[in-house]
Amino acid sequence: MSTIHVKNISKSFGDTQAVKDVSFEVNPGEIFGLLGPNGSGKTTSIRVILDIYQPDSGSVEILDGPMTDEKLNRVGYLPEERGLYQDVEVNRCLSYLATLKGMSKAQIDKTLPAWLERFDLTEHQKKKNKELSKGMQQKAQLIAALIHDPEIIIIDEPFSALDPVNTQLVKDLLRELRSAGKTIVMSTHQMNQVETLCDRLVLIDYGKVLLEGGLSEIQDQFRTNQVIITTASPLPEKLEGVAKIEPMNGNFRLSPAEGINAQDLLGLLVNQGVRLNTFEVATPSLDEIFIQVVKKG
Amino acid sequence: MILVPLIPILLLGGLNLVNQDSSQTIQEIFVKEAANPLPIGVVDKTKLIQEYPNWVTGGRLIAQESEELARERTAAGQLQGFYLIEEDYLQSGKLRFIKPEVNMITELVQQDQLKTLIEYNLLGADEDVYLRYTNPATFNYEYLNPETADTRDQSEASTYWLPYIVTMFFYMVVLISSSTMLSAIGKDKENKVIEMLLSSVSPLDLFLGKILALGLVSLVQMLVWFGTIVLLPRIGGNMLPFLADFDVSTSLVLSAIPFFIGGFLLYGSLMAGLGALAPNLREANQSTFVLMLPLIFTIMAIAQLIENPNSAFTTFMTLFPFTSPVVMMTRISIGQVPAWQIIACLILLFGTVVVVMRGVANLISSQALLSGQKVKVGQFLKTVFVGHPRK
Repeated sequence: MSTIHVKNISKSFGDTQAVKDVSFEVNPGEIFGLLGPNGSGKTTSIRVILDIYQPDSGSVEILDGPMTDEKLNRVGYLPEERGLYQDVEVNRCLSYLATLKGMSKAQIDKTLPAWLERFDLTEHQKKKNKELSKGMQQKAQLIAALIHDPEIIIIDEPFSALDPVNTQLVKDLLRELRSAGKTIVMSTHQMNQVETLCDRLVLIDYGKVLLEGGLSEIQDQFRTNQVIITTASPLPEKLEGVAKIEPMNGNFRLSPAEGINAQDLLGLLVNQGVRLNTFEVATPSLDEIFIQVVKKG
Repeated sequence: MILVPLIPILLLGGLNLVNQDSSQTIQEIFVKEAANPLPIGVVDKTKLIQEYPNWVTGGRLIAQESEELARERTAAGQLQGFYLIEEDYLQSGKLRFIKPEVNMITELVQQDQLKTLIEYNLLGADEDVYLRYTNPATFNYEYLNPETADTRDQSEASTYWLPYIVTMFFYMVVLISSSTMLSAIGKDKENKVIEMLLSSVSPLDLFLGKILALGLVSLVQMLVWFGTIVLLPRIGGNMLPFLADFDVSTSLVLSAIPFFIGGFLLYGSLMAGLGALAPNLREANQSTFVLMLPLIFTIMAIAQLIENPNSAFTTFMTLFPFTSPVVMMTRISIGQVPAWQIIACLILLFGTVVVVMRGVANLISSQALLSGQKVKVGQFLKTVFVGHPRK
């Protein structure tokens, strides 16, 4: 049973069709990537999932049924457009937002210090939000999304404004939450983060689903028979069975000639006396897949 | 903000404690301490002043035989100084005041005494003539309520000024308190917190939560302010004589509660709707003037309302829901208002509140809150009253 089931949702604003017949499922305990170029309909889809927008058609099932006020308290949300009360102290603002998620004062008093500690914000908790750096505000916003221990976490660009140390902190946290059985929907443009974190993903453009599935499935789907090698000696200009040789950062990307697969190519290279250090069947990066699919779509 | 009106109460209360003689006015408290107790001489070269009655001079102005003697006495410290009324006074009107040092506060009081003395003598030193001259006519206005035949003496300051004060006060509290709704929703949008809030509560809950919370705060604020108007005459009446004439009854304050609530809900809802639609506070503020026109018109027509409290125009303004919260308080502060008008006013006011709140609740959709658009007040009001699909 999926945690989130988006069924054929469509949503228009005036003449603009933001989302068109979008469907996907998010499974319990996975990190799910919601990808797409700017203006592709990701945020609208998220808002429909959260019941902020009503779809023109289609429906969304969350935790086995439509969204309710009670279920909203089981969802944590980090919106694309960050917002905290700028003239309010960090701890007061976070306490207020936690109250809206149904937490009691006692629960907040018990939980908030640990979160502030984890995100290194304890000494800044009495400052007004406007006095914090962008990265600190981002961390405070993440606390607001997570403090009530939600079952479903929907985060839009969680790494924006974070330095490498804090990026790693958030990545570790997301993995930890996944291990704890939380379902995470992550929307981001940082494909390297998707590759390292996401179990499955959906790619949307112009409001339509272009791609959906497990990360490795999708990579297999776009895998070519190209290979990447590193060698102990320079490569000759021409090699039998190789249609194209592309040098790349000390490696070589080889495109086999027609009718030759990676296995055949390995044998041919060895037979031609190429001294191989590594031989790897090229896996397409998500960046490449993203660009390829979006251009085609 | 709520406690600002307490400042005059604290000041007057403090003065009451410090000043043992409760019969003194504020002017007396300060002037007496600053004033030099020595008398002032008057050298009258025109022989105009025949009498120096004590009720005019308070014993402070004393006739001097000559300028030389007055100078000697001043130099000897027997006089504070002296006025010199020159021979051409009747033509020029000029006087000279000769004294060793200048004290602005005491001089203002002393000049008044000399002026009164001259006026009194110019009018033939006749006390009755002088008193009639200073108060040539006393008009006595009486307000007759056609239903209750209640007559009130309009010559009393409280009767004359109270409706003006109550009208202005109510105009301000309704305006200020309803504007807090606009500001609250505008700030949520400006701080971009609105999406976080909408992921926790529905737009309707957000609207109702704000109107309830701000309504309670505004009600407390109104009661503190109005309570100050009730308390001020009682605390400071002996020191500020004009305040003593005001007798604002507690029942007037209590009767304000339903009309304030109605006024706040009506205008607060409209302001909230405007705040939800407009992209930012600046844009919303530009449109509030149009929404507030009925209240502004009430202030423009204040004299007409107070002078003709039973006219058809005033009755209409009392019943019209967009003016009734303020005008009804004006009417109540003037005198008896027919019971049917109070009941009809409340029914119409709260009926309109229900319609407007429903309209605005439908208008405050997530889409409106998250997008923001150029506000056209006409279109906005049409949507509120005619209807609009939610979300």
